[in-house]
Amino acid sequence: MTRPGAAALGPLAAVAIVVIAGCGGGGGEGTADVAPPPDDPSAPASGTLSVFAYQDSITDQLLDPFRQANPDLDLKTAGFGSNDEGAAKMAGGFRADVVEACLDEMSAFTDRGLLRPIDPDGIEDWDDLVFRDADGVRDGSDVLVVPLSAGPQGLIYDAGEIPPGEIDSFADLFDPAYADRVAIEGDYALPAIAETALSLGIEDPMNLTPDQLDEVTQKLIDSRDQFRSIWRSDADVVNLFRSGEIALADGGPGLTERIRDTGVDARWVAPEERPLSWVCGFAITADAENTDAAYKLINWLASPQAQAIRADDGYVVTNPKAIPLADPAARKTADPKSIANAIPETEPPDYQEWVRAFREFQAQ
Amino acid sequence: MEAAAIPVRRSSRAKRLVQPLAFMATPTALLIAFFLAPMLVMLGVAFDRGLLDGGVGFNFTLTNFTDVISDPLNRKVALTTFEIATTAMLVQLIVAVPLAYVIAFKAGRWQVPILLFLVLADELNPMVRIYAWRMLLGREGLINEGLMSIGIINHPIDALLFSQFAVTVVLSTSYLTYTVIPIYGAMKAIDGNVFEAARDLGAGWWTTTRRVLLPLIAPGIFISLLLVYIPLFTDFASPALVGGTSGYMLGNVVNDYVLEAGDLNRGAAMSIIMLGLSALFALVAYRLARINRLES
Repeated sequence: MTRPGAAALGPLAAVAIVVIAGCGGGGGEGTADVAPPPDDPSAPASGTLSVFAYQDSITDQLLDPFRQANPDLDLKTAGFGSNDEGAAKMAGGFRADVVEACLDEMSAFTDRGLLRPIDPDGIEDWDDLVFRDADGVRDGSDVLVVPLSAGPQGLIYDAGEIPPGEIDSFADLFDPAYADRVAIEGDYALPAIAETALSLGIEDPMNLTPDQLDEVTQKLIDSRDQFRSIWRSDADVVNLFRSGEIALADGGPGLTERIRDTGVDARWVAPEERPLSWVCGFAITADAENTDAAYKLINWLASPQAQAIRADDGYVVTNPKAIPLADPAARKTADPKSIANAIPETEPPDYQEWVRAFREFQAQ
Repeated sequence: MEAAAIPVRRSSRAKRLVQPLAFMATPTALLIAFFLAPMLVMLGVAFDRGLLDGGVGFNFTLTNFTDVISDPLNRKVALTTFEIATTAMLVQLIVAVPLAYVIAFKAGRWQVPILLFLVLADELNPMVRIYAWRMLLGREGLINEGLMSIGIINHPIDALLFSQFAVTVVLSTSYLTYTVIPIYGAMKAIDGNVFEAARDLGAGWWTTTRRVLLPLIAPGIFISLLLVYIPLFTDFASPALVGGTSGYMLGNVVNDYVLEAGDLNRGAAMSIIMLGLSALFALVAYRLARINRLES
């Protein structure tokens, strides 16, 4: 499963919305003190709780049990297409109590002081959570995000079009044998750049030198005709496979399942260079007004029950206690061990250059 | 009697002055609150190095503008955008003028139903419309399948989708309603006898179109250009969904500045530049339309 794509907002409207939201101030002036956990963790939450996250992380299936357990809480949700988009809107004044943040894009929030440290003692399952010590979870000694979902990024192919066994490397994305039948993720720059780097034999794709980044950019530009499309959301790539436009793309096992649901014989492959992996979680915002409810929501999402729902959706869970509760068919994919050898997506130090490189590819 | 008449005239004059102002007060206030104020904030962001981006206070700079203008990548994208938007606009005018003519002068009792159909077609969700085009233009889409079934082609035409052609087609149809209706409005104001007069004087259909019809509908075309040509430059959903690797437009650049790079300042600067160029274009279009017929 991959993170969903950009929302269909007109760009000028996007500027306007962010700017108009900015009239209300907010954002940016974060407090550094740790958000206090609720005095009574078992008491139902009340008031209003605003959650800002990827759409896949705020489904009714996932949140309805929490709503039922907290009938006096008014739970409001809003979705974004990328962490940068979410952070830009929050910096412009969009107010939320809880926000989903991915470890490779934490600086979008931390640079603007949008997050408030979390007390891990307030998270019941904290000690069971894998990735709790991963890069990006902490800023110094402060815990900023509770990791709640993860996934590998490898290759998806249509076995009806490409015989099994042919696809085993990110280099296959650039193989002329599949020209014009390939799509590459483009909702944010990182996957395409990192995968291209791996296809070129670069072993540390998250720390590219300027020369390596130039090489990657040139490779993408030279291979422009290789790609039928740049996919920007799960629905987009599902549609591309289903309509016969493509036979090969990058993505995760959860996404493969969604494609299979449409009747395409899609298969997922971990490339020989090792798949990439991402980890996302929930954080409490600097402007959070209802921190009690925020802790309760995060506790629910970290619980084995909620994690099992995520497992059934094709995600890798961060709480291994959820695996026995998950659908047997989903357990292997959901096991954190499945991405133990993957290359974690971390934020490149010069990410703006990566964004520019990807723009350069698209603008050719 | 004369002395008594003066205050009445004064009162009526004051009323004439105050009444329109009072009448305009609410819309003016709304315009300032919901249009001008956000625009001013956006201007502020465009001229600031980090007003809403973690910066403290307002620090005037032109850097956002110089960065955006001097970036060769943006100039390249601007050229692509100009090509696509202009082609799409021309295609729309080529379709809209005859269509408006048929509706205005030939459709008879079907006039209103056709107009309603055009309006309803525009109500279709843009994303649904774009995906419908993908189903039509795709490799296994209706057009390719149709052409193959009647033996015109042996292999699907890949360039129908995920190409600049696809972006142009989708953009051309997305705004057709807003192109047709102003031109139709201009045509309805024309006395049909002028065409008869032109024919009596020996003008053929092309001369009549060029010398009579087009000058008379110039105001409608001007309004269409304002309503359609300018938004074509800012569209980003169509290039993203049907452009593949060759439909990157200025709207996508702004989108990437704001939502991908998180650079609100440059995104705002880019938007202001596009707005300025739009105003310039509107002025030129107005002048051209005025030369012909607008003032009458």
